[in-house]
Amino acid sequence: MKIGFYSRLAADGIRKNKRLYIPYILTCIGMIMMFYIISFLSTHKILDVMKIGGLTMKQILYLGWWVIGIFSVLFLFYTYSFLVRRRKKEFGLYNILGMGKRHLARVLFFENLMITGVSIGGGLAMGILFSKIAELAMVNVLREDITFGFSVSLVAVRNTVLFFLGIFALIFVETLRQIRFSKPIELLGSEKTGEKPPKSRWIIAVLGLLQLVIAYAMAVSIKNPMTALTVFFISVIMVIIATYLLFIAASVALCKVLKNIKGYYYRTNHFVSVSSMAYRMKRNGAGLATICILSTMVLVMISSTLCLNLGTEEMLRSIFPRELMFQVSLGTSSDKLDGDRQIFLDLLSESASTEGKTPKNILSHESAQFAAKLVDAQFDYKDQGFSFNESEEYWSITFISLQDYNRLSGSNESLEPGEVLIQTRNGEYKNEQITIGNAPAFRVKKQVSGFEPAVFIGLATFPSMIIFVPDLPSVVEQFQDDKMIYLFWNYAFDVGGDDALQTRVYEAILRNSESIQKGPIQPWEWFEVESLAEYRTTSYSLYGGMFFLGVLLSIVFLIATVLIIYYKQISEGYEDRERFDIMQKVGMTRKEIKKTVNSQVLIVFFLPLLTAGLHLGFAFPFISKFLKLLGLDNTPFLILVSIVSFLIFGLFYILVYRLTSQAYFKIVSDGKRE
Amino acid sequence: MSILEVTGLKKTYTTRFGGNKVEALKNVNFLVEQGEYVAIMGESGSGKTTLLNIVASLDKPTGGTVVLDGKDVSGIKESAVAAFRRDNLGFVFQEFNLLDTFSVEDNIFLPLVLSGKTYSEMSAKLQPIAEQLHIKDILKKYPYEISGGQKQRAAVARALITSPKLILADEPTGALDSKSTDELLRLFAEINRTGETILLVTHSVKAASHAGRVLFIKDGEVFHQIYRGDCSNEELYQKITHTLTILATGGETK
Repeated sequence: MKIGFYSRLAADGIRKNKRLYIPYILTCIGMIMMFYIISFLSTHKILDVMKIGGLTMKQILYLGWWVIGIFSVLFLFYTYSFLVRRRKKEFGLYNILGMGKRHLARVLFFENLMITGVSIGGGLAMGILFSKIAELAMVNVLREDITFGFSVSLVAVRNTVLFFLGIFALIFVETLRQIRFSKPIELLGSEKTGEKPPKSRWIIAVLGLLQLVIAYAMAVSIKNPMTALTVFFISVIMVIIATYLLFIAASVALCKVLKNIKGYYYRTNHFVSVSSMAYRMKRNGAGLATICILSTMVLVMISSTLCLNLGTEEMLRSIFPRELMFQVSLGTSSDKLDGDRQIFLDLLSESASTEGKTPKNILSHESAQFAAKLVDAQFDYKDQGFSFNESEEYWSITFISLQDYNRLSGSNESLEPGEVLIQTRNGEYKNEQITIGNAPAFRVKKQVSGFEPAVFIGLATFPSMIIFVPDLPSVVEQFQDDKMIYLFWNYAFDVGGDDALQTRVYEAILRNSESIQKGPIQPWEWFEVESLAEYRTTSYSLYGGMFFLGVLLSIVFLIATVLIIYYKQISEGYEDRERFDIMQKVGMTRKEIKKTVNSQVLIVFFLPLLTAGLHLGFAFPFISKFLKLLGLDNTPFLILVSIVSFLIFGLFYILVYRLTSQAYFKIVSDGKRE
Repeated sequence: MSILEVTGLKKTYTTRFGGNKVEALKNVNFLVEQGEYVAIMGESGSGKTTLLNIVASLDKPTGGTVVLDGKDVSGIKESAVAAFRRDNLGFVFQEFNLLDTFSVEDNIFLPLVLSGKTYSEMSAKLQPIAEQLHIKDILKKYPYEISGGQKQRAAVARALITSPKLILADEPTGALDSKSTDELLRLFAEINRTGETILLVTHSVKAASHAGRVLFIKDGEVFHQIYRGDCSNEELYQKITHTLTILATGGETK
């Protein structure tokens, strides 16, 4: 009987505040849905079935699982406290009407129980429903063609239920704490305490602006994204803080400045806008900043991962000039070379012929490679200690003969002894001379570009330099005593077939080479082989996985953004209702009021979007450099993808605005009829 | 010359469901002369606020006319109503209705800004009014910083600054303590002496006793009126109390 009473009261409370509660419950459902989907996918069979990319994908999803988990805790906690604040008056009334705090707690308990039940039930149902779509999307992104029947992961269900029960329990305890430490009269009046005009906090505003400028400058000036990752993260955090400071303090300060310009302020169009804008920003600054940050995250995530995903082929082409690449260590004696080469070539064509193919588009040259640290314009190859902060000076150096250069690039360069040509990647070398160890310096005749080495560069994130020398063996001789340099024979070719065929040829080569090595003579010391097909699978599971995670996280962030926007509209609606009335009595037409309010709401609404665009713009150089390191050197493409992402996001944002502003105008015009 | 003529005013509300009709005003007729100070009295629900809203062009009557300074208020187009209100009427409300986003000064300027006056014009207009209402010291303060009496004086200043033809006051002393009430009523009388026409709606006998004429509304009609004549405030107070007693006891049968 009694339980019935409290639960009825709780249900009533939710029903009467449905404008606040339904969006909250929908958000909970959304979060739970996403959490279930990501748990479901990370334990999915396909990831175990996949040979190469499964583990990568698993790790990426696991990372996303954490992000969504932590974000859910923070966001739901914050949102519910906002809800409770709005309802304190009602609780105060119950309290005054003779309900003890223990009874209130009971009502709240039932309320939370209902929300928890509906959210977890709905969230799981939606999650299970949409998990199939997510699964298909993941399989598609990974370019696998395995199909599974509809399935429900019990582990994922259990994890999701436990995790969100935990969150809801935490929220309940916090609500009790809020109710417990307040007096009834405070509960009654908590929503309306005389609002002080916002103070302009000049120092904070200036600090915020300064910080933003510094952070932008830091992000833009980064040369090597790999080594400056820390710097970038610091600048990201600075931008986040600066965004909050600016939205909260600088906007108010700006309004104050405008207010002091009498000629500007005392105009029909500006008078009401400027003065109430300061209040609006004071109340909504934090929410707007959050919207801005979330939007920026969505934009950066989507544009960069989409770019990686769409640009994977281009990236592969830049790293892999040919489908199969070999680097063979033949030892040092040059007279031994030719015969051994022939054995190797026979091995390759023999292996290819088992699939009915012959090596095509052959790219072949010798090279000698080592890594060296550039200290005071001098390369030191003896100290191989690798440290991150100095690593901008850490170069990969490859020697190739001028003869090979002329042959492969179809040019006709000639060099004096001691003269070299160089080609750099991921770095700039400006000196006229190259000094390596104690050897006599090379003189750089000129810098060239466009030479396509048959050397696998992979994810080479540090700068590299190819030095074309007139006489390769003598150079090797020169550094030979330190055992740091080896002569290689590089051989790359196309098979001409799909990934599966390439892989079969690749495996045949490995098999056949083993039997040769078991024979009486070892024609080569060892060789490395890189296969485009294999690398493609890895790349797609990595970049596809990142893109997939980007989309999943974006959905979560968008759900949160929509809810913040909605609550912002609602709370503004309630505040503006009163003002709307007074202004009308003083002699403003409804049209005028609607116009000023509308323009304010618009400014407030699109400020975060524009700021997010600005943030994206300043993150752009970093993203572009980062993608360049990964082998995707196509800035126009990145610009295009970013702009398209921004436009699509903008459209979505406007749609949300249109939908939520209806709620706003409904509240405002409701007040008129009273 | 009459500044305000209310003739045969009628207002019927229809409840949202079922179509039950409630007559708030049946047939109200009265005139207000230029420079007069008229109080309208009546119990809650007698229709006095409805009457004021119609006079203020905030609401439309079901029948009858309101003529302000020779102009039919109900005939003004929707788009021109706000400007008409701004230029011809001054409002003082029970709840002050100051905007908390504005300083006191800006609250007072609001109607002038809306009519496009420059800062120096407004400033010049404000000086004498601020002096008269003793609000010079609080002009730069915000509504949350000042007392109820000060808020109401600021609201009066906002009503006066447009030099309106008629000041409408709806229960202006309702939210004030007795000291502030006395102060405000004294100010109203003073303003009236300088030539302003005031229409005051109240159920406070004390507030009404400062007026030059008191109209009594009951069940949507003007039931009775008392002229001050040569009475002092105290004598008028007595008369009003007496009328109210009759209204409350034997009023139904007349």
